[in-house]
Amino acid sequence: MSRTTERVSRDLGQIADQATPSSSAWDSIRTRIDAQTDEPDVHVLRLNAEDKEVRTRPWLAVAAVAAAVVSLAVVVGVVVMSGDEDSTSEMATEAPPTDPEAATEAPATDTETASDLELATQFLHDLHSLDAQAVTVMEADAIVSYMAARSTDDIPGLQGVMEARGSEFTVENCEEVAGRGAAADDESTTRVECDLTFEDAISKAAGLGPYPGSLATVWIEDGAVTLLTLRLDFRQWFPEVGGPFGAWLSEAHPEDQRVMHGPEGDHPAVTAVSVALWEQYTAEYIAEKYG
Amino acid sequence: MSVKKATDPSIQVDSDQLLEDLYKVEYAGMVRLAYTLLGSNEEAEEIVQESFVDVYRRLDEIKRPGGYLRTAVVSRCRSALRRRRVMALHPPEPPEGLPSDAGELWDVLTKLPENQRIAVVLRYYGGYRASEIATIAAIPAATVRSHLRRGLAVLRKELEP
Repeated sequence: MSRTTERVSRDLGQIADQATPSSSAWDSIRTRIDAQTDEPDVHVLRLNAEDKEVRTRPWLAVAAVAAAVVSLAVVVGVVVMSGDEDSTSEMATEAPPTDPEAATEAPATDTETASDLELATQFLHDLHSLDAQAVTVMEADAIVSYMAARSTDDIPGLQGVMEARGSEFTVENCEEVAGRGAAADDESTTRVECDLTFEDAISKAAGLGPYPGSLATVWIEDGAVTLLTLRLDFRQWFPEVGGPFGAWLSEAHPEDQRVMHGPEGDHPAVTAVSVALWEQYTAEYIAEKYG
Repeated sequence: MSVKKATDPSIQVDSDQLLEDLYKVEYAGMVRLAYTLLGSNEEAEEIVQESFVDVYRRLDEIKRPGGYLRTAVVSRCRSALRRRRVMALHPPEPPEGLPSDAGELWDVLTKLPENQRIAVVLRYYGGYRASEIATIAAIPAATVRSHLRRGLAVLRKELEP
């Protein structure tokens, strides 16, 4: 250890010693937890960039995880804010290729010429083109550690549930928030944050939404996506859509509701039967309430 | 008292007890770490407490609550640092009573880009290796090493006579 690092360690310790952790912090944490017990989840999905699978096939692995969970189904109109200019440009208004192979190869070509901002928005746009077959190629356990799936076997089922519910996330706006070209430092990693809005078949039928608040952060290093963080916020959607639908379901089809939600009751079950029930009852609910 | 299932459905975990154990082991250290990044005790406690809530809400999904907690704290600190930069606020003054050397370090540290600052604090205060910092801060390991190299170069230039 050099003289500088010795001093830095010593001085940082002295700074840290100035902190005065509260003796009542545990009560405060318990109060915060109790206050949030009834709120729906905000999901944070993180992909570990050090994972071998990510290094070798970053597009496929990252896209597969996100596609499975959020199913960015019909992205129409990705508006890109171009730096500090007032103008906007619209890109990716057409559906990307449905062939998973093509979908995973295309971004690599774009990487050579596209800016990090365009790369990130195109990446998010391409997520929906991956089907269950592509998803099952992914094998890295580490990248599913924060998601509802208990294993990679669950991923196609989760995607199926999202599709059955007509769930769609739309990329509304992307902005480079740090790193090359956006900050004073010269970091090699760029972060692009994209606002997402969410809606589903029920909210559309009810004339509600789209619901803002979700955020995708795409991390880019040397022209390649290395990390994706998704913060999915359903707090506004739940009392208006998810809660009433759940209440109707428990009244009208209590037995099937247990099949749809699985044994723990907090996440959709990912069986073929569950997917079929989600599709059937979503349509039935819309017909009864809004038909 | 609530009981949640672990990732392995055959294992039952008392989530309240698990969180309390984690609190006893990690809380004070996490506040000190956040304080070293932010220089505000109030903000550090707010961030760490919210991070504990994050852990609690995800206990049935995460494999390593301690690792998740550290990542959550650093992520929230990074957001706080970014907000300060965006709002062009001045960094807080060094705490009163700080030895002059530590005050000098503080001045240089607050001028480092946020990721360099996080890497330096985690390495030289937290004692984490680059690979561990990569996981905690959600930054590729090669980038962490680059941040450490650059951050240390600035510190050396500014602090050494």
